[in-house]
Amino acid sequence: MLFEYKEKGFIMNINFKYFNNQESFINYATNKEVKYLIFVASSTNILLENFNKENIKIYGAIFSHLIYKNKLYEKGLISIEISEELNLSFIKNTRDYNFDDCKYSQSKSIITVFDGFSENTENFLINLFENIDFNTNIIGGGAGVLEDKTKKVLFNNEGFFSDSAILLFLNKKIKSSSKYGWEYLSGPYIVTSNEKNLLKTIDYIDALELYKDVVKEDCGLTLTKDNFSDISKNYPIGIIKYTGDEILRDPICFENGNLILIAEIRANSIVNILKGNKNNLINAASEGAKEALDENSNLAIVFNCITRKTFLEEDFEKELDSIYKEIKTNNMIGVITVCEIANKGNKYINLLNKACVIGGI
Amino acid sequence: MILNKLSISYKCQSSIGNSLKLEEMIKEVLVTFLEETEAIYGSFYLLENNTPQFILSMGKKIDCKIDALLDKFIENEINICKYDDNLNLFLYRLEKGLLIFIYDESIDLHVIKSILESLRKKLNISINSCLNVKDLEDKNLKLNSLTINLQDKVNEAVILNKKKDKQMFEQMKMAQMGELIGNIAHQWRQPLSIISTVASAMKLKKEMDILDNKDFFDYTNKIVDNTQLLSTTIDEFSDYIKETSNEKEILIQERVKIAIKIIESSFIMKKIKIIENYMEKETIYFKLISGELLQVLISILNNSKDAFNDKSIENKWIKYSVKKEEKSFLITIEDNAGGIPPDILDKIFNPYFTTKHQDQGTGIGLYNCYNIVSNHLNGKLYAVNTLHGVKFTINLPYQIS
Repeated sequence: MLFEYKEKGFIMNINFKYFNNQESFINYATNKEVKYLIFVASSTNILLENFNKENIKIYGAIFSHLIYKNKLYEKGLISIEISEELNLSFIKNTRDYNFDDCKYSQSKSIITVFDGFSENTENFLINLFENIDFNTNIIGGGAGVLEDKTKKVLFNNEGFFSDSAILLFLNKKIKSSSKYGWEYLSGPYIVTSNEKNLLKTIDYIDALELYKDVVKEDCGLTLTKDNFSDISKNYPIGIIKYTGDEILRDPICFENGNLILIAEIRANSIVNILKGNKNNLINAASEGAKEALDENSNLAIVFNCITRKTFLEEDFEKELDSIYKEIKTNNMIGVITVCEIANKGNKYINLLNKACVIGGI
Repeated sequence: MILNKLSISYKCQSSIGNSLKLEEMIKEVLVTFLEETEAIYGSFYLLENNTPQFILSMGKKIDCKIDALLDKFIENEINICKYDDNLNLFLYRLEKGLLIFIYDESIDLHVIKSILESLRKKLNISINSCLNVKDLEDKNLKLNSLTINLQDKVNEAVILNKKKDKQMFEQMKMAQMGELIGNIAHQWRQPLSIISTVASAMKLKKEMDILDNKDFFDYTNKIVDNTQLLSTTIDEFSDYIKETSNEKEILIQERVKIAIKIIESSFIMKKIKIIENYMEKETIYFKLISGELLQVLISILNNSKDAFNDKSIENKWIKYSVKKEEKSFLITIEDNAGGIPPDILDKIFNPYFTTKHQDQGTGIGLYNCYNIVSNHLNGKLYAVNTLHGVKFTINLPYQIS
């Protein structure tokens, strides 16, 4: 799929394509001068030596599923040609990366994919935010699969890496949106005791007990070790920000009476317990698509949280449809992520969870 | 939502004053303010002596023209103005600093302004505390450097003093040796006279051809005995003067007698009677660097001898004794020279303290004795006034062999 974008004499070629396996991509990638960014579905077999044998330059990341047009794929790969107008940095270890060396900090937009389970993710994103231009948009998401959090999910021709990231710099402003659609269930509560991503007490009450009570009252089910992740994915915790926006945190498990969240929470934060409603989520994605995509948008790029997919189940493609119908060119690619990022440069950066991030190019 | 605003206010308040290092404290404040109020930039300038000093910034990299900004605000108020078309500049002047934040124009700054205004007192106190601690640390650093200098100077002085002590001790020893040579000469006179007489008698008898075998052996035995005596005197003297660091085991009673022998002729000349008051029968062995105990004994004995100078005392005497006790043994030397004035009794072991004329005393003799007894021999040396004079006691612990 090739489209050409024109704005004030600026031309950007973004050539992207879906392949159902590595072999078909290799057969396609005959131009050895071209570099490719590839998003790979985790159940797809990838052998780096096959790329190297054919001298194909690749930079890639592994996700649980891929989005191509309005369909979800659990196998295959999406390739994006890195044309001359695009610049790419592959960061092997985000802890060592010096942003002073970054040549493209003046770019108008950055698409990033990173190791979603790296402990350095938040630091890396803050550094990225601080070191790029004022109005640079950032969108992206965390690569990885829930089944194996230690898996090395970023790669290039040299090998697979953890704690790593890819930055794709664009000289075109990406319109973006991030939407949740989770509705209020209970709150507000104050976080009265915590330690990093460990939520100990809310309103001076044992956090796990309070959470269990709220969930049981809503769905009648008692949370246990065995059913926790199946049920808790429907009941995220929303941290209320100054602007009224909410940052969502997934409780992923519990230990010694404490809730363990997917990312850090600050003491004294005001939180709500939220609940999922399929229609609300789909409507929120649709709203986000309307916000990010207009008649000038040629490509929609989607970073959609894995918890939305597991919550929406068979209705997930309805969410994709609701986004797809807003892109007039029918060009839509995306990935299922473990965390998301969307920052327009006008507010301090926050790592998102359970969000649907849409970028319109 | 009022609860949310209160929560942000509380989080901002909690972030203030958690460190006494200014940079650390301000960093936590800036990170919290940025995250909680959605600012995209925050920085802090220290305003001491009217010169803005950049401390740190967080968020987007922005070059704030601080000098131009300083003209823009009214002191002790929060000033909000345009940074550019889309951004607002938030200037928060404190007693000794300036906090700068930049917000997107979409963000309502009224609540942020009132939250930050309520934190002014705590911020001022915390910044002042950090500056006071820094000031104290700087002063401590200076003080430490002065102390180190002072310590260096003291060390230099101590080395110099030790060198001086050694020189003075050598001088004292040389003076004592002159006196001791007189003693030796006196001690040698008698055996030399005997050797000379016996040799002359042998020669005469031989010339007269009346030297029989018995005479020969009698005479030669006397010569051998007396030369042995001369040799012993030399050994004793050399034990005293030779510098060595090797330890050897000595018999205390014998060592005391050697000391007496070395000094006795000068005492006889001054008509000072030497009296053995008590001598422990049971032998006491002690391991020490050869000559050290002799030095102590001779110094104390000479000190007692000098105490008689310019005093018309009849029946001058010194008494010495060696006595075993339960855990240690005592060597005492007492004289009847009238004692030491009580006001200086506790000073006699101080270095350079002397009551003698500067030509005669260095003030190093008793100090050296004290040093040897306490530091080398692990014992005690003290002096007390008695009915007739002063009594020096050397208290030495038994050694486990």
